[in-house]
Amino acid sequence: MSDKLKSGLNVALLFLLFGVLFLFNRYGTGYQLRILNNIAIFITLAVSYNLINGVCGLLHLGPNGFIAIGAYTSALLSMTPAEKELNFILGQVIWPLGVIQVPFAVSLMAAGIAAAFFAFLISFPVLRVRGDYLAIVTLGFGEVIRVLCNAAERVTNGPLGLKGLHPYTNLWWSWGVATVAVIVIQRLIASNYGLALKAIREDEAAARAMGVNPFRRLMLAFLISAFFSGIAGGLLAHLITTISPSLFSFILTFNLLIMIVVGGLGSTTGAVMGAVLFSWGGEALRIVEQPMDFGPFTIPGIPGMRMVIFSLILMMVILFSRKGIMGRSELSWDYLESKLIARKAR
Amino acid sequence: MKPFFQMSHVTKRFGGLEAVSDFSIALERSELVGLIGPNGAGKTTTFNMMTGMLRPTEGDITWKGENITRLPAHLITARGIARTFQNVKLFNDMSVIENIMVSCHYSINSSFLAAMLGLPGHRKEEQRIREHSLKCLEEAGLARLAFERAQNLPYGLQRKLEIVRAIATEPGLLLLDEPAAGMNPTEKIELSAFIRRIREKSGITILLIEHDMNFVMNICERIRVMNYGRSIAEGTPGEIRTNPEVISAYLGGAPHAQD
Repeated sequence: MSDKLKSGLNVALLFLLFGVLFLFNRYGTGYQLRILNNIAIFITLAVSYNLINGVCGLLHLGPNGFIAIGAYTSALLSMTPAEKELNFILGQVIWPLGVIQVPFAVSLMAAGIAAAFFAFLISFPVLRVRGDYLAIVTLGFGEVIRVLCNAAERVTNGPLGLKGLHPYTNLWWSWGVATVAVIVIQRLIASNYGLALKAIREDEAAARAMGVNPFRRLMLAFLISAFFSGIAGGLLAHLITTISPSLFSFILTFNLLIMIVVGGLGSTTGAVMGAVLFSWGGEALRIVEQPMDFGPFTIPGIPGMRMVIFSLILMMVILFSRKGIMGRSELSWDYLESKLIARKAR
Repeated sequence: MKPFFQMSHVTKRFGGLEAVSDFSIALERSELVGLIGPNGAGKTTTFNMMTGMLRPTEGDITWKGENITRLPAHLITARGIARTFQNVKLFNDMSVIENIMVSCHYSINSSFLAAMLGLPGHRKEEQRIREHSLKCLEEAGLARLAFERAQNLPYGLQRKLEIVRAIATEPGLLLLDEPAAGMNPTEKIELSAFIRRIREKSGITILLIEHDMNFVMNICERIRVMNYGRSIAEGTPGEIRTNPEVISAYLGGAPHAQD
């Protein structure tokens, strides 16, 4: 398949995506819009998380910290001084935050940069270790951020959280960011930089002997991942309009981990699929919680039933394709073409 | 004249164990030298120090007049010393050509931002790397396997790919750690022809560790023998073959390293 045809198909796909979004934006219900926004935010999060866990092969367990930093940064910057005064009832917010307000776009950028800066600081201790140790260190940093959010009352308003944010996040913002994140991160993975990251994952000693500096390359991936996680955190804050430290617990990391493992560790399109399956699937299964009428007998609605079925589906996916839906391959045009040809030949 | 590569009075201690003691070696341009010795003699440790994987406890290593003793491994590779490993260390889940393309990473000039945005400068560089890698594969006769996953290659080809990957960094000195280990006789003959060809074509210096004596005697111009971390002999293959100290080191004659 020629490169020209492929890029043509990509553009067509983007047009299709944004056409569908346009229709939903005009005719969709609030519930549908909410799910679509959620999907886009989780696509951004899963794809950037996959860059560390799948491509670099580091078991990083602290993305909730990056998301929290992004959410708080953008929320504090986008609120008006009057809103901040209303929110902070325990004590005044510290000086510069109390008076400044910036446009939403600027606050998102700041969220990304703040998360990346934090990633830069922790990368020195984190990237000195590998494997289980790295998992524990990053898990610790994620928790530290949550605890700090609880404790720093004059910055984050402590456990009360921040309420009444403007619902700036709409389909264009969330899907725009998701599209940029997917394209940019996939380009990086497909480039020579991505090869260097995969080489470190496969054999770090050999990668060093081939002239790759593992520390600098892993830090690069870490910063990019944190940057997009931070932006997604900002979008999340302005979607649910209320944030508190409990939102950014380890469960968030855990959900992301499920998404990328189900999608296929190391596959960007897999991460996208995992995110869609996870954030839409949970909602789509709400029908099983309603009372069902099968003629002679009736099943009463059982609350929590959808989570049982949902976990069964996840288990099935892992049982039947142990490396996730996509494994490490990408759902590219070439991949589709090769599958089609294989089917025809049969 | 300054030697091309020199290792002078290098010692490596791991706690109380002296793995390499007071070892010196000098290599000239486009030489083919063998490093032999019984198991545990410190040969691989020497390689690890030459390539920056380990730091010597004492002593200095110079390369083209520059002291590289304390440089990290990736910078030493960038300066032109490449190596292979005793047990094959390929990037298993990557294709053959991707394995080679990693070797060009140190020479990449465009930033990660250019890569993420797909700027034309970066694309040109990717193209250059791809062509260079394909050329390396063609010269080694592996071009038809370019898109095969590295772990699917037969063992002999994996060993060969590892050598090609090291050559792709365009080194001035190539260190081969037991290149013939586990190969069958036919593969060994092919390998020695391949190594000779590399040297004739690119004129690089090769230092190799090997246990197969026929292989070493056949291919090397000069052989250095180590035992218990010390250098015990050096000479042409003929001299080494008859050296009594070497024979006793291998056959366990009079112990010589106890004093």
